[in-house]
Amino acid sequence: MSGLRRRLRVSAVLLTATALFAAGCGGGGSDKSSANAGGLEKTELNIGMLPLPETAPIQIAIDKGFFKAEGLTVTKPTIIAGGAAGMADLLSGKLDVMHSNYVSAITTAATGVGKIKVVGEAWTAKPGNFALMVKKGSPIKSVADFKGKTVAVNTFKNVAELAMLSLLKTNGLTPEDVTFKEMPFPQMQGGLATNQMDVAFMPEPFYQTAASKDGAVLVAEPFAGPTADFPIAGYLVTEDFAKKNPKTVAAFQRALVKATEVAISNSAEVEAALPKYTKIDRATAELMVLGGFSTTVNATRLQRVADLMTDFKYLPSKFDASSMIYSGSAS
Amino acid sequence: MRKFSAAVLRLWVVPVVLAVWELSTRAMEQPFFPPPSKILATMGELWFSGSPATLFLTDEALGNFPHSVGRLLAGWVLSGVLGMTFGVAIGRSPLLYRFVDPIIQFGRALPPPALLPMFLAIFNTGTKMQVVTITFGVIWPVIFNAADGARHVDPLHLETARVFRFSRAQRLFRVILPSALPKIFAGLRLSLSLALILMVIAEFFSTEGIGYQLRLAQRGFQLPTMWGTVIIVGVLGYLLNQLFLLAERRALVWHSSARRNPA
Amino acid sequence: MRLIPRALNSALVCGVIGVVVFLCLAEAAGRLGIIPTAAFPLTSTVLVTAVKLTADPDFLPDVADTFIGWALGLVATVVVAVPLGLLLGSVPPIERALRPVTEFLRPIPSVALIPLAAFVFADRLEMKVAMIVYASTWPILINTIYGLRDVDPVAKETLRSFGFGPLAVLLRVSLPSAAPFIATGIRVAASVALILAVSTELLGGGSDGIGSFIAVAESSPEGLTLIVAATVWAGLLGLLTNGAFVWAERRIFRWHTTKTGAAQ
Repeated sequence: MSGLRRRLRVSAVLLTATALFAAGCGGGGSDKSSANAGGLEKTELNIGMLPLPETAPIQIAIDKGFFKAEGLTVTKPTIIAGGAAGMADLLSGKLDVMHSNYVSAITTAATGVGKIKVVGEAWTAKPGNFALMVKKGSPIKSVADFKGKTVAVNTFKNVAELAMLSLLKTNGLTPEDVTFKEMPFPQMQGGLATNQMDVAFMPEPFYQTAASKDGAVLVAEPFAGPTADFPIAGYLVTEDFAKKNPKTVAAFQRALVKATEVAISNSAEVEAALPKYTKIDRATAELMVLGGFSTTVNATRLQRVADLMTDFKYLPSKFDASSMIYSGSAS
Repeated sequence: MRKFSAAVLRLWVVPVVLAVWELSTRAMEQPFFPPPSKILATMGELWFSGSPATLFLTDEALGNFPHSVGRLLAGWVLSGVLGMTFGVAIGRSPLLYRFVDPIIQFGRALPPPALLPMFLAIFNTGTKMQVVTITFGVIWPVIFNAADGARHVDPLHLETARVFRFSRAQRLFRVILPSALPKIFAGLRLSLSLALILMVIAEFFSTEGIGYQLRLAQRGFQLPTMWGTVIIVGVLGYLLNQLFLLAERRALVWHSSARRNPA
Repeated sequence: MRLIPRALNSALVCGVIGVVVFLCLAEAAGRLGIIPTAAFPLTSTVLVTAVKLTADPDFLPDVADTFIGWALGLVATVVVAVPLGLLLGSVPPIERALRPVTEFLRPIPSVALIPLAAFVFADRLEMKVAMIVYASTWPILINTIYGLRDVDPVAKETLRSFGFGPLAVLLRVSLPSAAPFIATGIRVAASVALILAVSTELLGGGSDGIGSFIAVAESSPEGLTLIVAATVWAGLLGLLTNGAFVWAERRIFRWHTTKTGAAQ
């Protein structure tokens, strides 16, 4: 936001701050739509995403001008908070497109918190993307040894925990056999070393660093067997936005696919993009396996996520995940 | 009976707020803002549908609430004792004040959530870590107010104490502390509700407690449960504050009578 | 008292000594393993990283953003809380009637409200200011109420007997007498506001401020050191603003300090 606009906002802010509490009125984003050559309903896109490797295609699309070529203006992606706060940003119109993991997306759609559509895929778990790590010298050698242990995940009731529950089941354990604990990824390495938990669910590059610095040991890959090729995250818009802006959505999809293809074919592009929106430096980026970028939303796999969520009581009943996949006139 | 009607009079604002809340949320029809009737129903189901033997509290409530409240009180009492001692000391000793002031000002501007990794590293998850987090987070208003109170003692009172050849201890307990008391109480009252906030934050990274329940509800998009925990925290805050005011009134009655007849 | 070297009369000298001793203790705690270095970086590492952050082109604008949000929020809080405190403090029946509501709202953690606020506010700066007002109102409100309670009844009576109205009594006796209390409240509120500014940026998303810098830092295995270093900057911001407040209070309340012979 420019300094001038900010100054102009001051008085408005003071007023709203006093008035808004008790009132609790809803807010909505203003559409800055304008006529343009491509007939796009909205040219300026606010994209929200987490600073994770999987959102590299958005940065690539900005840097390589893929959005611009489609007539879209995307200046800088907004870094969002995960979970309900991020979803509130999308539903309240602060964001037009939001990167989100599928568990949050399905929960939002299935519980009626918001009507959303998946317009693109971000990441599908591939071998080497995630790992279950234990401390050096830990007696835990396999998933079967997890009984009675504490497992750290980055967020409760989300992808990591769901994958763990599925893995436990495959290994003959029940959800009650382990205790889950929430911990941000950067703290997990130290958490393992100081016995704050027994097992940590870590993505790359965190698990590689934990292994090289503290000698942490990889016991198992969380996404294997029934959860192999597990769809992790995608890009969402609200149903309302999709209905009103089909051409804009199509333009976004084209730019995203193009950028994702670059990310898949040339990992050097990803390594160059990462330091621009994350704190992952180039040297660390080069150690990463990556490879989970995906250009298509697979309905069968997405349904598998929803079914697992029903199995483990994340959802009260069965949910048809295909209903949330966007199928606009992507001509 | 008169006491009862006085209580009714005092709480008239509660049904009014509830009614406005109910009507406005019904009009909004937003899943993020469920009406209070729905929140209360969820709360009842989750926490207050137990057997009469346990005062209708469910296992879920019994497994979480008492632990949380215990830690909260432990942290608050600890911060009260430490904060008062330290605050009065720096309020009366300009030299000590000069040494530690920058550290205090720095410390209280640090967001406690950012220090959680440090407390976790030292104490691991558990009661000790949570009590320390609460103490660290709420001690500042107590130190502050105690120091200000102790600094601004009426010189006339101190002069009187000198004339009557009070010992150091007498001077502290009969002049300085009574004079600083209103400010200390203001600090303690502030820190009580801050302690509730810190309790919730510290429990985010644990495996039980009200904060843990809130975090679970947030993660699962269970908005009525989320609001329910918020209400529990609010009601708890109200009750603790009422108890505090009761205690304070007793202490300050003594204080104001002491003030009227100094020494 | 003459045993104390003259240098120790300087707040700056003492403060620097205090800080250096504190930092040495913290470093020792890390080196001796009291704070395991595996889980929390050494003080020296943090300080070096904090200094290095000034070279990060993203970081200083973030500090500025946090500062602007904090300042706006604090001004808004004072505008809301001081008049409210004066009203509640001078008309006890209103205070009693509203107490269930205020005491209910006060302990509600802002971290629980941020996801909900994210839904209400379309603008992130507005949301930040609103969260600051919510959390920092209480210290000012309560200190104002306590300050009014502590006003010398004789002085009020005197003015009343001279025929002054309630408003004049409030402005001429109660407000000046409660002002030091209010000032302390504002000082406490200032640090609460800073914490809220950072937390809202962190938990509410957005691309400005120390909080969002912390959110981005969570992407890196080196994130914890960066996060702690960024937090140090938040602490420094608090230190500086508090210094400004103390300085202002000294000038404004010189009469009060002399009257009560400030801790000599």
